[in-house]
Amino acid sequence: MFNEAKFACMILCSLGLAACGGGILSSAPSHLAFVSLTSNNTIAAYRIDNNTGAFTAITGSPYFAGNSPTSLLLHPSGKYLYAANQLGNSISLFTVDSNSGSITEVLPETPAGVSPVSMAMNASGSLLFVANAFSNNISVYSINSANGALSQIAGSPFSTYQEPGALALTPSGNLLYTMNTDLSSIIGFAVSSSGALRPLPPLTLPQIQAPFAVAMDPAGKYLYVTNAADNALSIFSINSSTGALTAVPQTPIATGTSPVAVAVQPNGQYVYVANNSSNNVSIYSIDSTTGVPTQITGSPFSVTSGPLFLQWDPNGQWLYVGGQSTKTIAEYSFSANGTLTAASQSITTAQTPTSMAVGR
Amino acid sequence: MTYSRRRVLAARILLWTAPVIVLGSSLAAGQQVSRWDVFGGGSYLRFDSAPLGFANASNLTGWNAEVAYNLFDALSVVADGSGHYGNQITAYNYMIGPEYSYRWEHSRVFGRVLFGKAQNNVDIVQPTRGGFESVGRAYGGGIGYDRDLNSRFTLRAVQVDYLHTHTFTLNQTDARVSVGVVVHFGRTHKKRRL
Repeated sequence: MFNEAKFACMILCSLGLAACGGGILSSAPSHLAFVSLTSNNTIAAYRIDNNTGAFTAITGSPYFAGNSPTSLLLHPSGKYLYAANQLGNSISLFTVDSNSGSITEVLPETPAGVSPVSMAMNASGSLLFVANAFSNNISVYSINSANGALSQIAGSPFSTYQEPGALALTPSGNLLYTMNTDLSSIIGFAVSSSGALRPLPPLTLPQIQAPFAVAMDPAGKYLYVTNAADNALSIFSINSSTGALTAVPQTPIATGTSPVAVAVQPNGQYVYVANNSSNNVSIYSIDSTTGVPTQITGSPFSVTSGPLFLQWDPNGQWLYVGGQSTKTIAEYSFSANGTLTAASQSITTAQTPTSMAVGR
Repeated sequence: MTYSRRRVLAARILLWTAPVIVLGSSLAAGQQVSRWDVFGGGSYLRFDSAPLGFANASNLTGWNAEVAYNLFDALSVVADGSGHYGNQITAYNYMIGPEYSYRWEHSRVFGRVLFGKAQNNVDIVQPTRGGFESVGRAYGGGIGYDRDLNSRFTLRAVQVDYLHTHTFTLNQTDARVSVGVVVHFGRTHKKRRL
């Protein structure tokens, strides 16, 4: 049965952040950012100053997209933007003009499964993975580096359990995990060089309760999963060979109410969880050796009402929080101790922002 | 004073006063100022495209033309128009305003204030439209230097203008540099010395 709450809160796999270069500093003076406005089928585009964090709307923004663009993913080259059109059952490809910041859709849209809700891309930008919530499968596409065009690989779509949600792909691209909220499970796949998926042995993870959002550290050592049912954050170490997940000691750790998004600061030292109902962000420092989390002093931090997603800029200097209630993108600066400081600028979008993609 | 000393003194007086006499006579005679001046030339515009979301300001090239009606020797009314073209951006400006001149010998420096309209086009092609255009107010001013070639033609060696425009609901601050030729028509009551 269609879950409207889930539809409203489905979060793009934050591995898209890693695929966009988590931990790799950008020397550009500004970077482009794109925000999906699902309810009016558009994508807003902005240029953000790396030093001041100031937003500048791109001429012509917002741009028309497909039917209900819910998730956005930017190609590592910065040349292509992909949007999963949840009601259109398709993937839109946009070319990105790095000078003007504008995007232009390349038609026709690429067919996906029923209700594509999240996407992941490998670090080289050659493969795109799409979770189709209502056809219970994962579509895998090869990406033409010359024009960004998508071609479904042999064997795709690959069947999985009902209603696959958020996706996480290791930096090496050899392991893919999908969150299955309804079954309270995490499904793992081995990924071949061509992108073909082979299911891993079932992962026995008793602490998982309605896994909703997922993120991975830049090194691919740990998997961070929010448990929507018991308001907690689970952390697993990843066996890079077998794909097995092992719970990190002292986890799961309590979060705020309704943890709907998780993001790792590009330096890998801190993890941030957006709590939609308590309107705050929980922040944890991560022991690089053991993965054990410690909630930092002052956490949780109040943020914009109804935080829906979290997105870091490529340099890890700014954290963007999408506000469901306020229809805003709130900006926070990062301090070395992990704390957040509200920036003077934020942007108000015409509609509720549902996801965000940020370039280098 | 002996005769020879008087001659030396007279020569010295003449030597020191002759330039003043000549200069005074030329000033007293005045420059000939035409009634109409028409300028046309090439132009460069540093367009402030960052407020429109571009990564940097844009370098545009094009033309600049104007018609000046010289009310007096030092005061004119100028109608200025320009068009500049670049990658993805086209900028047109149409302005009018007073211009003050200071003239000497074959030269003129001038300063002016301009008010009018700007029309900026951004070539961002979308499936349902060929680009984005906006028309808004413009104002600015500048200075320049002219050098006479003959009684009909003058070389505008340089003209630098600051332009402030308001298009796409945003402000742009542009800088324009133009060079070209001025053609004179009609005459005032003053006589231009060649």
